[in-house]
Amino acid sequence: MCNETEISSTNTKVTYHFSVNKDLEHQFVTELENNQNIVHKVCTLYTNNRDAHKDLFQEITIQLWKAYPKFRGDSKFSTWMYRVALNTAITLYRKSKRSIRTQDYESVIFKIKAEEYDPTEEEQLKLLYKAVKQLGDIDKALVFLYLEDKNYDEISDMLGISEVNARVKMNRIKNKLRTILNP
Amino acid sequence: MLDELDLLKKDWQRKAENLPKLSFDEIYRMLWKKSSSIVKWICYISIIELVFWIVMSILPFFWNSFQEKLDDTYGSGEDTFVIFSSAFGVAVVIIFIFYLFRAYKSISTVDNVKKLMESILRTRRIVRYYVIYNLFMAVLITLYTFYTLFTHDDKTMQLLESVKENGSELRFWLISGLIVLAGIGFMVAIIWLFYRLVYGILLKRLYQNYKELERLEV
Repeated sequence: MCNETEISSTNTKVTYHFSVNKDLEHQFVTELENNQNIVHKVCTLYTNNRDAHKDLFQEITIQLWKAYPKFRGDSKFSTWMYRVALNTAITLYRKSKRSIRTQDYESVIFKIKAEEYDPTEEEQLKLLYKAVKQLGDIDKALVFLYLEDKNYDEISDMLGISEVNARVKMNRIKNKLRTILNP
Repeated sequence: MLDELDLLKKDWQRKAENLPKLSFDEIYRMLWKKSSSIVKWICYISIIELVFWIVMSILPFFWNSFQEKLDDTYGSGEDTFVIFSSAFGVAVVIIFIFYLFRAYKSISTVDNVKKLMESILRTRRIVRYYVIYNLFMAVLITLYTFYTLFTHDDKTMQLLESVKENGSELRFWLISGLIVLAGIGFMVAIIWLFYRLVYGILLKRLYQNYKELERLEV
């Protein structure tokens, strides 16, 4: 029961499935190849080095592939990808690497805070990226969807919270970022 | 003044060009890699737990001394109690496996974030109920064993008689009561510790995120 792929019981069906599988694989990988940016963006937000990035990308790919037979095409492939990718990054994926690295980020932030920094746009962006990386898993998801130009209706639908709650959370995140930028 | 996030958004969409690009073959190879998701871990651990408790409840019947004791105490003709309780145990296991399987199947990565977390937590809860049930039964059996020792076992009954003659009855009950309590406490503590350890490691982040999601939700 730990293996979620479905195998049909009769022999005739199995051969049928195998021939379909090749097409399915090809179709899936092509779609993912074309939309891989979404997964890379999630990995950028939720991991802090190249190894972890690749690791998470792989896990998301596996989860997408497992869920693909149930993908009916009544939503866009990319919309469906957002869900599975975020779910994997927030809930399913577990690697302890992240906790060691977050400390690095903290120390960098403090260093920059202590220095007198130049409030140019470039510098602000650098700080913003670092601040976003420091947010919790849920806050990151909100920021990610916002950056991806999703509206509150879509955000609340993807996270499973009310639209009001999504808005309140987003305002809080904005305040958090503001205090980091203007200490 | 431009909103911080809008500033970031502009840059974010510009930066999309710098993202890594994997080839068809690289992605294709990933399809066959093993998943290391917590759902898989939870599934393995649940199975281990079920097997552990089933073995624990069956094992005593394979010990000769236990079998003899059983016959001694109840007489071979009074096996109905043993048969009945075993059948009950098997029924409970089957029901738990059914619910566990159903809960496990309901875990879907296509659900929204909150629902996915809830179905994972529900799966865990079912195993927890099963463990609580087993602990409860273990305590019950321990107490029952002591009761039968003092009412059916010749040696213990003799001991009790001699204690009564000595007049140190109260002390005897106190000490044996303490031993029983300490034994039960020890057993519960070990299992509790095991749970803290396994699920502390596995589910801490999930619990945190779930609370974070629920915050403000009325």
